[in-house]
Amino acid sequence: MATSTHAPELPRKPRRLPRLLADHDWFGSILVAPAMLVIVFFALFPLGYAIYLAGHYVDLTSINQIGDYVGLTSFREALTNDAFSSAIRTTLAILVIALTTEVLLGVGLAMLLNRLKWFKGICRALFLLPLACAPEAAALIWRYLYDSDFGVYNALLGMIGLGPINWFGSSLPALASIIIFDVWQWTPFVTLITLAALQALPREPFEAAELDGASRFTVFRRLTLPLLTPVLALILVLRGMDLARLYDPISAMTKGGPGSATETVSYYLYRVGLEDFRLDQASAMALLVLFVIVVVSGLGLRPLMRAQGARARRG
Amino acid sequence: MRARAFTPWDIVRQVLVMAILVAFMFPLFWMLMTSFKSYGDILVSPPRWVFEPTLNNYVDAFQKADFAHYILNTLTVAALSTAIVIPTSALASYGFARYNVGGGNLMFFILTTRMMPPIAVVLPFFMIFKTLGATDIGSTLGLGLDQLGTLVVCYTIFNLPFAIWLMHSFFQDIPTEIEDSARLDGYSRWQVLRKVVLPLAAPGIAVTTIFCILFSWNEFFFASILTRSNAKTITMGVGDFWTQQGVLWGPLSAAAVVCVVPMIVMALILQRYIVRGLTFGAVRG
Amino acid sequence: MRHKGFYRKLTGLLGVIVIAAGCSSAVTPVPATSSAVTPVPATSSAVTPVPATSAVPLNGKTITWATISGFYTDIATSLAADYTAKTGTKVNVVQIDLQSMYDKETLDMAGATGAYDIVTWNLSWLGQWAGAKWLAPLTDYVAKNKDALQLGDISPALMQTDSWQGVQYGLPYYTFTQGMFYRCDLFENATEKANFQAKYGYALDIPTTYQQMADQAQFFRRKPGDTLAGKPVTKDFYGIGLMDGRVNNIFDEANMVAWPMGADVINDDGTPGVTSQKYEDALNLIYKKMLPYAPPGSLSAGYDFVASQFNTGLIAETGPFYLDQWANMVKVETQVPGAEACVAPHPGTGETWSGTFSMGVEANSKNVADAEDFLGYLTSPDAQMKFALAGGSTPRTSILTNRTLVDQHRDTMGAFPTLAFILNDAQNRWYTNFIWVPQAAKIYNDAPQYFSAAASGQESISDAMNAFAKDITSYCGGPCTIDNQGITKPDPNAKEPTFDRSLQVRKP
Repeated sequence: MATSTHAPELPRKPRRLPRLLADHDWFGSILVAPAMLVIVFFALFPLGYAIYLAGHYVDLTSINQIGDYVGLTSFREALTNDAFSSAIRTTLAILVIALTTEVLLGVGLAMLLNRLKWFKGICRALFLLPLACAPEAAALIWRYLYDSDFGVYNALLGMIGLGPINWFGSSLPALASIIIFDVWQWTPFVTLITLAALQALPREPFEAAELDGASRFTVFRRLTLPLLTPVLALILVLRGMDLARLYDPISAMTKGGPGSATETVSYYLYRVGLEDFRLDQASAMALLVLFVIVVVSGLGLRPLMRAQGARARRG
Repeated sequence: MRARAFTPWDIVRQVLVMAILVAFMFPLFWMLMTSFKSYGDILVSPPRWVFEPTLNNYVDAFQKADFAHYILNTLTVAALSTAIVIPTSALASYGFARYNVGGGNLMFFILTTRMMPPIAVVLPFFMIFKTLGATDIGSTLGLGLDQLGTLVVCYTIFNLPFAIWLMHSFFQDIPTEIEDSARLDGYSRWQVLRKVVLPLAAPGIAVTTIFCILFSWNEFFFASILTRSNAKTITMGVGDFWTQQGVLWGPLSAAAVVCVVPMIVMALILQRYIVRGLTFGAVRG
Repeated sequence: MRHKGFYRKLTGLLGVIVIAAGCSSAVTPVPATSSAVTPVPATSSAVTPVPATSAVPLNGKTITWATISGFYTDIATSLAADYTAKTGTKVNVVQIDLQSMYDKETLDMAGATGAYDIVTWNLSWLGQWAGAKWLAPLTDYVAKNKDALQLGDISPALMQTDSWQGVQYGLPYYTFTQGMFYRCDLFENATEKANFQAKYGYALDIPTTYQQMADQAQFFRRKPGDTLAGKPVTKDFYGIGLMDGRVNNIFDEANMVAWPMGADVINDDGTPGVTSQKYEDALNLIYKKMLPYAPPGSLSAGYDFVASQFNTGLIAETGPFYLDQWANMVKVETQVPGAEACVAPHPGTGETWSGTFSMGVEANSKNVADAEDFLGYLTSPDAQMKFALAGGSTPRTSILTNRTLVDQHRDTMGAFPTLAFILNDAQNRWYTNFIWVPQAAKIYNDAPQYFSAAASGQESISDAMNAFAKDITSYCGGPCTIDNQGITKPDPNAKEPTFDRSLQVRKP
């Protein structure tokens, strides 16, 4: 726990104290303790519970509810479960496409906004709006916007001579509709972060590059992009984490359909856990998903974490 | 630096941004329009752009779905959980930022608690609160199923990791020299924290507060499993209009507007602070 | 420094909220529950104001009833208020939307929270709930209150679905038995009739087979520039509305077509029947011969969207459809000039999904006696009359067949005589193995994805049904048990009755 980092305190020399606020201090542990107590309890309890459930035969609709110990059977079943692997593929497809679109569009938009001549503040402010909306409420409204019979999107497409698209009628448009919704809600997040990062970039290297007569593209590739990399890494991890657990728009718009075209892992787990009440399978699959997300985001965040640690020590 | 007159590129940029902005604002605009349409103007093809506005949908939303009750519930839960999260996370975050407790690993561990698929978290919580609700202490504190206390606890747990991460960079940005000199002036560590650090970190704390309220307000999944009627929140109330007689798009839009507008207004007023907060502390990290 | 001022303002604000919330949270427990009970005035103009009966002082008892959110529940809520006035027992109505009703009720019963005294179910859930011992038997209560309940007035087709293994668990309070809706103004238009006769060689009329329904769907599909009933068509008009989104309705609809064609979900030996040729023929008919003439939205539609398609004048007829929706369907007459809504049995008449939402007492309830009493009240002829007057689809035959009353209240009761006709036939001819399988609830919840995959062409019909059959077998752990003790199977030679048009309540 938090107190594992006790170090013997250096003898105090009150009048010369550059290292007064040193690393590994009991005071830090005290500060962290209340929050850690809450987090550890409420993180470990569900985790332990899930492991326990995954090891038994659990069907809440049966008379016994929690049955015999079955070892790793649930995990083995999860790994050979077609619906689960198809849900993973769907989730990955949504994740990759949505994330790519959001980052490209978001960064592009941030570059535009950064050098915008008029109404910069207002534009930036308005881009906040999708972010502030409750995803569930917004997705319900989008269900109406997409409607093939009464929806306004097909009417708009019709005005420019396109469509109509039967948004929820076949796999690809249905996937697209989920992705477009996510892009609408979260591109502003990417934009605003990137914009903040762009505005915090140091001036000097850019001025030097201008003196050297470097082309705009070169400046972007050689200077801007590398400086933005840590921010982009963080965006990828945070959005990736959220997209891997995508649930609200699926439940509000497509219910996983048509067929199982938009059934994401979270939605599938909901069905297994809260419709079939097979908590053993739901827990086993949830644990597998958790494992993957932790490993992947751990790798993604490692450089950042190291930087954090270094900063703290420096400070 | 921008003293020069505008170039054609400025105009191209402006037009592009405006076009994208219109696309992003459109769904909200349409939601607002729909909320003022009468039944006959909503399900028509092609959609109607001009219509006679009516307030009936709002009347319906407040009469049928008892929105006042949901709003009060949501406000209560958001305020109480935020009031718990902010002091706890401020202390922890300062601990991590200045004393590097756990050397980054602990910070990462905190983040992992948000990675569990929600379904695997909600059922254990369901069981805990069912048991707690049956005890005297639990029922006094409102910690049962369909009780506000339960949601306060849940949102506290969700928001803690986020709040700690968010405040981290704000604490890091405070120059150590200030703290050191305060110590030299004879302040204890607690006094340094209270009288020097916290006031300096005020903007960060403010941002975190805003986000905690926003997340609590917008949360749906846990509220939908852990509450029934007594502690129903506003996002659940919006779903009330998906009914036996079909989706009542008018009242549903009105409800969505009621649900979304307070957060939008808050976001607009406090936008400068939010933009800073969105960076999750990473921009300077 | 300007941050500082801002921060102070914000903490001030937060403080106010906290204080306000703190006060309110201290009081909420009391009014919060009551607010859900407050009788909400139903918007329908047909609701007759209930005269305030002499109120009995509250007796401190409260029962909680979980049911579907929406229009009908609004009426039920006002009935609950009447009950409170009569007995002093408060009724807390928890409204849950249909899509998540099963999940939420089951979770609370499985978790033994005792949250609900009265639960509401769709007939296919009963086996699971009764099997898990989540429901309290009503046998004694019903025996004691025979006279007041008058259960003989409720169609046996509906009553049988409230018992499991011979034990009665529920009382029906509202039926969603299926028939079909069509636009009689179009079906009776002389030009359309002549054109149909010329094209298909038989008369345009209420369909008696699903093939006829498919012909009509094809016939009525019009594009901009065509004419419909002599008027030029300006926007796409469709022949039929189908509930083919990934919702439970898609499975009901498939069975409505499959059952009259001699197919069933589960064969007599307990093996899945969905892969049979007859079942696949039925699906072929819907997805290949009707769906192409339905609005594109049908692929994501539940009954609610089809109701909108119908009452906005987008379609000429529905497929097999829930008759409790009459009050919604008839709105087409106010929204489309010259339109008239008519109701008829779907091909196969009584071989239909003639189910109810039933209510029973949860085994964990702490107020069994009061809950039973309230149930009895809701099922009683008096309460059902109020329910029906406001548009509720009552299971009581005496009300359904009360023609004088029905004629006076066409907007809400217009489907009643047809409904009674269908129920009467269902009692003689309807039987399905499916609802007697203890795992029916799971199968029912699992079905939509496969039917939706077949309808949208994501998978071929036989692939989808094979996958569904595999799931059925795995849920049952082999061939399914069919717990149909005490259920008399209908005579296979019984004839489908001819629908008597005088049962339709026509537009005055």
